[in-house]
Amino acid sequence: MEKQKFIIDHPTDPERENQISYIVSVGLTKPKSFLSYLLEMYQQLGFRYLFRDATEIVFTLFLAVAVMLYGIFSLKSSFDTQDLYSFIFTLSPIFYFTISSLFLVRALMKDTFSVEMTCKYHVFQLAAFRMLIFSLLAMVLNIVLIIVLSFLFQSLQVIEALLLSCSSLSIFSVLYLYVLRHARGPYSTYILMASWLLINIVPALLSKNIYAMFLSHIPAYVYAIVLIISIVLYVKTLKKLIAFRGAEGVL
Amino acid sequence: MLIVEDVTKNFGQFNALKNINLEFNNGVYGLLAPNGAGKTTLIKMLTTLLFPTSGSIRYDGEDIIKMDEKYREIIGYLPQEFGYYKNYSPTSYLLYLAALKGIHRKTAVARVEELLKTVALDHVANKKMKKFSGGMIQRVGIAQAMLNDPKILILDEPTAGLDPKERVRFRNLLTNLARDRIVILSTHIVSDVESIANEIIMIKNQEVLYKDTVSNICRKIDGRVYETEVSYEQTEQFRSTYLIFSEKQENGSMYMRFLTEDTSKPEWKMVHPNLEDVFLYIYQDGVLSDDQTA
Repeated sequence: MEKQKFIIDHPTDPERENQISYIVSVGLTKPKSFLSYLLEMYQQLGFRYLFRDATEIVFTLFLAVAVMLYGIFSLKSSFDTQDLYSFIFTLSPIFYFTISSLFLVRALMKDTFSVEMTCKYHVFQLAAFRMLIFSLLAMVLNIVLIIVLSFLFQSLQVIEALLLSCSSLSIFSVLYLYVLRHARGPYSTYILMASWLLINIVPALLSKNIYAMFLSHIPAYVYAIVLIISIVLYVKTLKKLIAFRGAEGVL
Repeated sequence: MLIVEDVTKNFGQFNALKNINLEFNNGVYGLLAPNGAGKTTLIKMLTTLLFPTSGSIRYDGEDIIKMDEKYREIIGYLPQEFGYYKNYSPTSYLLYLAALKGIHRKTAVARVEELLKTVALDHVANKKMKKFSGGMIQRVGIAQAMLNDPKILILDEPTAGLDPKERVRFRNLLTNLARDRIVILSTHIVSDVESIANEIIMIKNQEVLYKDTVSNICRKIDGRVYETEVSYEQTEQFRSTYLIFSEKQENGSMYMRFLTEDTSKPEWKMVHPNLEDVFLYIYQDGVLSDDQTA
């Protein structure tokens, strides 16, 4: 019996390459970068839904500015420049904390949370976007206040003060996000704020001069390094917040 | 296909569910159990709000937790306590949720209008929800669960607060929807699921006791359910002897529906058991303990 000959139509090398790259592109979707994810979210949701509570946020912002300006002007005479550095370092995260707690922690405690968590864009993803904006907003506010302070206290080193304020804000923001992701219950962020105030106020009270000297004598490049590290950590933590579901789920 | 495989859920030392194995295809599934049996825990795991302690839940072969937003895009969920923003109208709230679900605004506007008609809220589409009754809020909840035309619709106690007319309308809607999707309905109200569920899932002692059609489940106590007329004087004794399913006063005596293993008596009339009978039979310990504590 004559053997039957099979003709196999083997794909060419370029065809194989094409098929492999097609399978890889379909099977392994490239993770989106943090910024492109935020941009996509902004395009889908728009300002309207990302900041549903914009009126309340603006009101809080004005209130914070008013309180801080009032504080600065009324306490102007009792401050010396050395005090200012500990004042800036301790209070820089206050606005960020207030606005984040008011509008994020509240969202975690609402009845709408479970429905919002089952949507494509859930509460933590929205929170990551909002926190980024809040931290920028807090930074701008702090810069404005330091400029105001520099007019009142001529001896204030503006660059150093700015670095001090931004470092303080970014360190606190990293801690805030860490606590939010790892500690159980939204009240843990309040404990963080209280601890931050205690850790900074107690040494200032015990030895006002030494603490102020310590803050003002740290070289500017150290603050710059701390600031850069904190910003990198902050963005990384925000990225984690996007995919955050907790070990047991979100409830 | 949605598959729950060997799922156990513990909350610390407390075991809420153990070794749950279920399979869902298109159709209505009634998750029927008394309050506190673990229905909501199972529902929350199906919606990824809670993660199983062990085991896995897969949709078309993929783990639902790993699917992440791909899974959330295909589910619709109505929680037991549906939260809403009081100062929003149904339209604005549904448009907000539609945006979170990734639906484009143009599509969402038309979809919201259509859904509000479906749940008979089109006449109050732009009224603030703070003035709404419980039933109206529940209907907004049902509408939001259907916004993305989900492949898996998960409803936890959806008929709470609905009037009888709305319940019928809702059941018809679910039957219609279940032709091409999985509908999982958790309830402790038997009539919600008896007429529409393709299969009933009953949970007892943290495990799945039955997953079967209504008729097959009812067959479990076939030949043991009777109705009879009892004089008032004998009522107490009758109650303590048999497992009573229902009682009705009529023409100066009591009509009892009950279950017994005893041989039938001439005055007893054997009847076909319904799902409520099976429910009361299965959870009689719970019912008795509830009564005793009351």
